[in-house]
This record gives sequence, C-alpha cells and structure tokens, in this order.
Amino acid sequence: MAEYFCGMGEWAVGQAGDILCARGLGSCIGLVLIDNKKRIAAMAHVMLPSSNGRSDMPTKYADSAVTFLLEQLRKNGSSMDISSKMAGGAKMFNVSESSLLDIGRRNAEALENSLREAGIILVSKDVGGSFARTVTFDVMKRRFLVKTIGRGEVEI
Amino acid sequence: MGYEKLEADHLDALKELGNIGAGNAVTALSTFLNTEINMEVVEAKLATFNEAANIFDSPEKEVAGVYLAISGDLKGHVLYLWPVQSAKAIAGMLMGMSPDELEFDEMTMSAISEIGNIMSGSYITALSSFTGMTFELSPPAVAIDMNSALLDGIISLTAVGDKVLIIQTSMIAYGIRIAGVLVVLFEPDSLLKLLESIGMGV
Repeated sequence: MAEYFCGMGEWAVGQAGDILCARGLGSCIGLVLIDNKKRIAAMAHVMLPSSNGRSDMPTKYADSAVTFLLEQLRKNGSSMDISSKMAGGAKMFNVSESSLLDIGRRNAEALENSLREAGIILVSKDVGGSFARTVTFDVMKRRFLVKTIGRGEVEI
Repeated sequence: MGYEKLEADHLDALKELGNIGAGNAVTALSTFLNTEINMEVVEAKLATFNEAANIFDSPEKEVAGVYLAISGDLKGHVLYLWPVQSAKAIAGMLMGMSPDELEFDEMTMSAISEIGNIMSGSYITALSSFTGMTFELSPPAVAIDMNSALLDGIISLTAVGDKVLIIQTSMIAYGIRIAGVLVVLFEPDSLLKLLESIGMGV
C-alpha cells in the first residue's frame, strides 16, 4: 500500500490499496488507465502534445504516454481490458499572444487521439477552464477525484 | 541544443544577467512603493521539472502569479510569484488598505498585475540594455492558484529532456514582510542566443 506522486512527465503503476496522484496540474494532464477486471491502474502526468520522435520520457508527451502506460500495465499482469479518465489541460493565464495560449487544450486533444488510436474508452474527463487541479486515483475503489482550490472536489 | 553542454561558466553568466535584471526590478519596486526591498538570492540553475515547479513548499501551495511573455529577439517567459498573503500585503500598500480587508477582486488583481508588470518590465529592460537585444513584453496576465499549475505550461515549453534552465530571484521587503520569487525561463534556442550575445556561446 503506497501513495505514488507522479511529478511532471512521470508515471506510476498501482495495485489494490495504492493511491496514484498528480498534484498542481495547470496545462498538464493527469491521465489514468484503469483495468476493468483487475485492481491495477497506471497514471501519467503529461506535459506536451507531441514527442516529435523523442523517446527520452515517454509519459511527458501525449502521443507516447498511452502506449507506454499500456506496456507497463501488461508487464504488471493487467487483464488489458482498459478504460481511461483524465483531468487538467487548463489555460492558467489569460494571454492572447504567447505560446502558452493553447497548450492545455492541445494536450487534451492529443491524448484523446492517442486513446482513440489505442482503442481505449475515455469514460470521463474534466479538462479546460482556467484553474488548477490535483488528481488522485484509488486503485481499490476505482475512484478518480479532482481537487481544486475554491471549486471543491469532484469524482469523475 | 542540449543542456548537457552548459558549463558552470554559462550558469554564472546567466546568474549575472539575473542580478542585473533583478537589481533594476528591485529599484523600480522600491521607488514605486517607497520602501526598502532586499534582493535575497539570484540563482541560475538547471533544475528538474519538479524542482522548478516547487518554488514554494508544495506544488499545491496557493500563490498569486503575474505572467508576461517575452518576444522579439528572444522568446521567453517571466513569472512573478507571491504567496497569497504577500500578494495581499503588496496590493494593500498600493491601494492604501490593510491586507486583511482585501479580497481578490478586480481592483486587487489589477494592483497585483501592475506590480508584476513594473518589476518584470524593469528586469527585461535591464537585460535588453546589457545584451543589446530588443525584447517585447506581452500585457501582464494574473492568476491565483496552485504554484505548480502556474508554472507547468512555461516549464513544458522551455524544457529540454527532463531539465529546465531557470533564472530565479527571491526578494523580501522586510518592513512589510513581502516575499516573492521572480522566475525567467527562455526557450532553448533563445537561451543559446542570449549566451552568444554576451560572448559566452555554447
């Protein structure tokens, strides 16, 4: 039983009793792949939409994170009957002319594409807006919680 | 470029640029608020994402941030962060109110934004004079939320591998107990140009 904190670009796999967590998400996204049959799940803290061929940190990028997490689940004895949830992808500052403009939205779109290509259902998402999120996934209870400052906590 | 080519000399040079910028920013703020501000620590360091995103004690720590995009000869980002109590104290000084009376309403946000704008503007102006390059700054944008969330987009855009180069200045105004951190991150190609401009090409 452990709590795994996924920092930016990092990932973790958890079993029954474990909590997976990504804190203080702005434009980044906390993605969780959930085994529908066994108590096992994987989380990634995704930063950018496209790896452009880089393979240094697969869970840093939306286009390589899904395949990589699936591989980790397989190695850990997953049934490979997988669904997914995600939250984050905000636009924290109201800017009109910076490269920051739409990185959160592009992250969310790229992840949805990757999930679709991998044939994984996105059960629910809480993306966009202009507020920070912390996500936790309780592997035993299969509960994905999204916490915010001033907007409370919701399960999606 | 890869950050592995950066040596201690390059970081020292960037720290010196940080000193020049921050000195100017502190003078501007001291004049504006008519109070003594001390520049505590200027650092230029190669940090992992998580070191960079945890300037305060937790990624979830609630802070006020003023963001400006740098364009022109270089592309980069300036972000001035204060713990919320410090943000209220500094806005209170500007508005002639006690911090306890302040809400984060439009007035307060506007005051915070203006202070961030003045400081970042002075910082970047000093860099521009020193390097001979021309920079433009976007209008300031302000947000109050988790520390890591205000930084993650900027870190994502400026990262190379799992590292980011952050030039960071901590400032404290003792009389009024305001602590803030000004961070500057250049996009990797721009960092190279910046070093070249001061004769420290990688």
